[in-house]
This record gives sequence, C-alpha cells and structure tokens, in this order.
Amino acid sequence: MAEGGGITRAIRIPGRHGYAVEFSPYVPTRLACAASQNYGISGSGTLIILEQNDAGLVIIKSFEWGDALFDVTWSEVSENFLVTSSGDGTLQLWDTSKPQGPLQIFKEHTQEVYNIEIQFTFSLHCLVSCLLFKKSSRRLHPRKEEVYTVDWSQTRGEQFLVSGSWDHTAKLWDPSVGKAVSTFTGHENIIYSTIWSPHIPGCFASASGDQTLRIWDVKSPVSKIVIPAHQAEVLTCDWCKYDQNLLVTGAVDCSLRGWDLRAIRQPVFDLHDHTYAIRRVKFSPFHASVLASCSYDFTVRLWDFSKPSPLLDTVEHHTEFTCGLDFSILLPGQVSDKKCFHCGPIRILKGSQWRLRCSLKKQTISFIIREKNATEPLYGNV
Amino acid sequence: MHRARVVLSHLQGAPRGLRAQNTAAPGDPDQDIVVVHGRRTPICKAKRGGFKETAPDELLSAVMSAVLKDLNLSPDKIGDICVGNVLQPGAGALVARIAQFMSGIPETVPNHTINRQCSSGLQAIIDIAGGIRNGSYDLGLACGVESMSLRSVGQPGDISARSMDFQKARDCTIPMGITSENVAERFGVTRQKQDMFALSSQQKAAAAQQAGRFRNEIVPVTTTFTDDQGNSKTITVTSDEGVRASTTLEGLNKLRPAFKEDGSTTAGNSSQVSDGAAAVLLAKRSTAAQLGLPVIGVLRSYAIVGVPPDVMGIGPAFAIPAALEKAGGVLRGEAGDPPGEGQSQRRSHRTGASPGLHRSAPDGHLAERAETQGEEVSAAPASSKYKPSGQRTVTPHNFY
Repeated sequence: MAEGGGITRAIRIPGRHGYAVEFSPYVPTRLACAASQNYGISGSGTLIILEQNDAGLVIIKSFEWGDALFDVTWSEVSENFLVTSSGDGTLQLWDTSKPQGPLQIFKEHTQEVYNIEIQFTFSLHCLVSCLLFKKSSRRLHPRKEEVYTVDWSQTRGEQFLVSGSWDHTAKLWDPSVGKAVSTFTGHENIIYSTIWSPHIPGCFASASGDQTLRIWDVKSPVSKIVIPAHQAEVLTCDWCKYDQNLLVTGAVDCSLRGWDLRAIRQPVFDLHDHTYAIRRVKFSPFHASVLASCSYDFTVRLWDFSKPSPLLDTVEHHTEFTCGLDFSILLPGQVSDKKCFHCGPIRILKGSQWRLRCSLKKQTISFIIREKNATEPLYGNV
Repeated sequence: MHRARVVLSHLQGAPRGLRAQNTAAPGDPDQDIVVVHGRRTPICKAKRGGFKETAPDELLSAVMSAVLKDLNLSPDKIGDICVGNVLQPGAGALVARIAQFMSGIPETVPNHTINRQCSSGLQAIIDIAGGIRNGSYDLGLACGVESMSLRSVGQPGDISARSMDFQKARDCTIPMGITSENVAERFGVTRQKQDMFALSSQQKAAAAQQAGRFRNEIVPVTTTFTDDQGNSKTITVTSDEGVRASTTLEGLNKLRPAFKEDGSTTAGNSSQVSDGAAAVLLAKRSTAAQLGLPVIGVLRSYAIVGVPPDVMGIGPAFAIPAALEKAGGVLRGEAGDPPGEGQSQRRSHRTGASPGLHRSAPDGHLAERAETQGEEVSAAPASSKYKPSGQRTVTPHNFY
C-alpha cells in the first residue's frame, strides 16, 4: 500500500501515547485522539483534536484530564461534542467550541436507575440545553475501575452512550440526564470493548477478558447471546456495516474471527497473521468484507475475509504498540466513488517489561493517516 | 499496578504448541470444580480373577460406601450420581440405582448412567462437573463400573445390512485387537517398541504396588470365589491382579500374536480385560470449603475428540493435547513430531501420543501428587463415536 499511491501523514506528540482515534462524522478532515501519559499505566490523559491539511496533521485543540483516557467517541447530535472514557471510572463530555473542558463529567449516582422501558428521543436542542444548564458535576461511572471503551449509538431515534469497564459491567447512559439508565452484568472479566450495532436499535456487542463476545438488548439486563469466541482474552469487536448479523472479534490469541449471529457455533472466518494480541478491529464503511486490525505487534493489517488469501496489506509504520484505528466515513468527492480509504492508527506502548521501562524516556505519540489515490481501485477488484 | 499487569497479560504472543488460557471458571476460584475424594476396587482379571462371580452392583456399592465413610459425609448432600458403564444393558441404569441403595444413599439423590465406551468413567466425571458448572447442584458423585466377567463384548446390537455400504460404519465392527494391529501398521509401532513399553509399564506398576502407592485408593472387597476344584470360598481382594513384577523382555518377545498371524499385538503388550469399580466425589470449591471437605485437585479442562473407528486406539493422542491446550498446560517429555507444512499447531501432537500419560497412572497417582503440591488435573476422554471398543485414557476407571 505504501507503494500504491497512498499519502501518509504523521504527527508526533511528545509525552503522550495514543489509545484511540476516531474520525469526525461531521468534518471530514477532523480527528479525535484519546491519549495518555506513561502508556496509560499512570499519569494524566489528553484529548487531542487534529485537523489534516496539505501541510499534514495539526493539533487544533487539546484538553487535559487527571487520569488516563482510553477511548473516545464523537457525539451524533453535535459536531463539537465528544465523550471520552477514563482510568478513574468516569466519562467526560467535551465541547470543542469551548476553551476548556469538560462540559460535564459523568459519574454514576449513588443509586442506579434500572428502568429503561421507555425509548428516549432527543432533538439537538434538547440535548444541548440539558447539558448547558446542568452545572452539577456528575460523573457517570460509579467506581474507580478503568473505563476502557465508550460508544455513541448510531441508530435513529435514540441517543445513548454505552461504556464498558474493568469492573466487568457495561453501562447505558442517557447523556441528556447525565446518569446511567441501565447496568449490564454477566461478563466474568474486564470488558475491553462495547460497540453499538449500526443496524439494530438498542443492540450492542461487548468483548471481554472472559473470552466471550456478548450481544445485548438495552431492554434486558442479561445478554441475549453469549459467544465463546476465543480461548484467550477478547480485546476488541466490531459490527459489519453491510450485514446486521456479522461481527468480528480480535483476541490475545492473535486471531480475528467472524461471527454470524444466526449460527454462532463456528466462526465464519478465522484470520491469522498478527504475531501479538489484536488491540482493535474495525470493519470498512465501504466494503462488506474488508476490515482493518491493529496489534501489539506494531502493525496495522488490512483484510478481505471473502478472499482465499485474506491478508491484503500489512502496514508497518509504527514502532510501538498500535492501539487505535479508524476508517473515515466521509471525505468530499471520495466517499461516493468508494475508493477512498483511511486509517489513522496511533502508536503506543512497547513490548516486554524491559522495553516498557526503557522507552518511558522517549514518549511520543504519532499519528499516521493513509489515503488511497481516489482514481485507483482499492486492492484491485474489491 | 493493575493496569501494567493487564497490559502485560496481553503480550503472551502467538500460541506456540499447546499454550492457551484455561477455560474453567475465569476469575473466580470459588467457582472451580474440585476433586474431593476418590476410591477404587482392585482391578481383577475378567473370567479368572477374584471378581469373576461378583456382580457389578457389589463392586459399585463398595466404592460408593467407602467414599462417603471416609469423608463422614451425609449422603443426602449429594446432588447427583453419574455412573459410567459399557456392557450392562442400558449402561447399567438399574445396577447403578441398586448399588446406590446398597450404599445407604437415599432415593432423593438422583442417579443416571452413561456410556462413552472406554472413557465412560471419565465421562461420568465430566457429566457431574457439567452439572456443578451449570448450577444444577454443588456436589456430585461420579463413578464407573464394569464386569467383563459376567458380560462379554460381542453383540453389537441391531444394525441394518445397509450399514455395510458405508466404510466408516463397516469399520465400527472391526474387533478391538485388529484395530490395534491397524494402529501399529499405520503409525509404525514395531513389536519391539510395544514390548519395551509393556515391560516398562509392568515395572512401573510393580514398583508402585510394592511401594504401597495404591494402598490408600484401593477399597478391599470381600466376595465369593469358586476355585479350579469347584470349591466355593469367601475371599478378600486387596490388590490389582494384572501386575507382573517378573515380566522380562525375553518372555514378552516369545509370545505369539493374539489377533493376526503376522501381527504384533500379544497378550503381553495389550490391555487385559478386567472387573472393577471406582467413585470420585466432585464439588464446587466454595461448597467443599463450606462443608470442610478436602481438595485434592482442580478440574481445569477436558476435551472430547472423534477418531476413525479402524484406529480407535489413537483417541488419547488427540484428546490429551486438546485437553491440555484448553487447560493452558504444556506436554512435558515426549512432545510428538513437529507440525508439518500447513498442518495446524493444534494437531501437532498427533502421533506423539504421550504413552506415559495414558498407561501409567490410575487416578490415585494424580490425586496423590495434587494433594501435596496443589497440582491441577486435566481429563481427556477420547471418543470414537462409532466404535464399541476401548481407548485408554487418563481415568480412574480404566480397565485395560
């Protein structure tokens, strides 16, 4: 791919290690990155908003938080809002139009609210006003345990956040009220990833250290489907954007597996090539069978599971653990022809304990944006 | 540093050989399934040995009673009983229930039997473990019993003539001895190798017997026995009958093939047909602690595999690595051939059966070690789903 006419843009941010990167769904050139000091093991966190232009990548905004930031998701109601998840058990809502943040800190009330019979619908105004007038500092997660993942629902008619924590629970948040409306228990280990279905309203998937992938309906506190996906910790999962029954999981056993919810006994595909645990996987917004994964082995790999040799490309531009990855869903003039591809991996930690200690001296974060030439078909015949 | 620990735990790298996370009770040791206690009868020679006239309910009752008595456990605490059996009608459902009552276990304790051929006893353990794992009960008794004196292998049951049109179905009727010859031919196990192994197996068993290693696990059984002269008398059997300390390689070499004229399987290097019974009490760890019961082992994993019926004896060579992989263990010692081109790692231990594992230690050994070192035990029933005949596995109820 490096030779395929692609453009690579990179930025290094000293003293920070990236944990997650997300393209803005509103502004094609904008990215958000959740980053942390000291590989996220101790120290503070930073939310960085980046803009890409001809000169490369530029930081247009950054916000500090007292503990590590592990994940970030853009709001689906306003282009300025983002939510991050943190090592101190809280979620933060940020407004990029404000000089300082966060707008609100979400932490669980002392009493949890379990009733979620009603499906909420919010207008933009409703949400904004709610948030602006609520000055009380409420933190959305009730515990000190790390919140590793947060996602804003994308289906119509609902504005929910789902977060997954090291306390083994997932929580559903109503951002306009600032509190959890439901808690989902069942996982027997750390939850590393919670992702909304892009098709089914009120449905999300979670990946956990208990080696399972679980599918949840927000109306039920127990999981609808439990898939023993790997014989190792499952660190990441994502939904196919073209098939509502298809998911992918990535695990410590270095494999990616595809799951069809109608037949969960066997994976529909099993992709091997990574040499260390897979940290994040995402399906392409443009191709039903294309996905990208990043790993502790420093690489980003691109796959087409429908092909006999599914590994399309291995991108080796990082020199530390690669934790974050995203596809851009829009870039003017390039989305429509479906030949544009971006991934913005960011790099983070180093390998063994020894290297971990050594590399603490030169903390950097680097962003790399890769872009396919719009006139060139992606991977030949995709 | 919780976070550092979590991240480092992600860095074990690609699985090499048999490394994997164990699948049992992630996180919560209270949910572990533990072995509390186990006893067995002596293993006697079928048709000639001490139990040739002893009904299986007697053998079973002896071990059930001994387990309860040793622990001073009230029998109504038991949530379920599972008994593995092959030759009794319906896997001995009636025999098992009768043995339960002969052992003073009340009718409120349910009882069922199971037949997974030679690994039936081990399957009983898995059955009980499954019941504990799914929350049906917290304490269960897993048993196995066989009398090859009073019942014989032979009648295959009702099968259609059309079954002969299917190669694998036809293979199911191959006698066990011939399947042994098939394994020897296909995997190149020479007569010399078999005899050497038989010798070392006999020597190990004799040494263990002499050192009294089986004394604690064996329940002496008093029964009626008719001798060569037709005199009926009462005897107490206290030790295994198949062990011959005097075995020599020369002696083994002289024996004639038992199943095939130019074959390699002889009476000296194959399993004997036996009579005997065993019982193992399993519990959820928290329940064992609550009742003050000992813990001598933890069931970390098990695996069941299907193998071709004409070489059914290779079952353990597939099942043991699979169980170890699930348990996160590594085969020590002989680890088999390295995986060939394009062959998955998972199958890499195919031909490198770990003979020491499946032939040497009745459960007592494992448990004994576990008792002192807290060692974890993996179980691997091998299933030839098709063939009514035996595999050897790591099991306390293994009647060679």
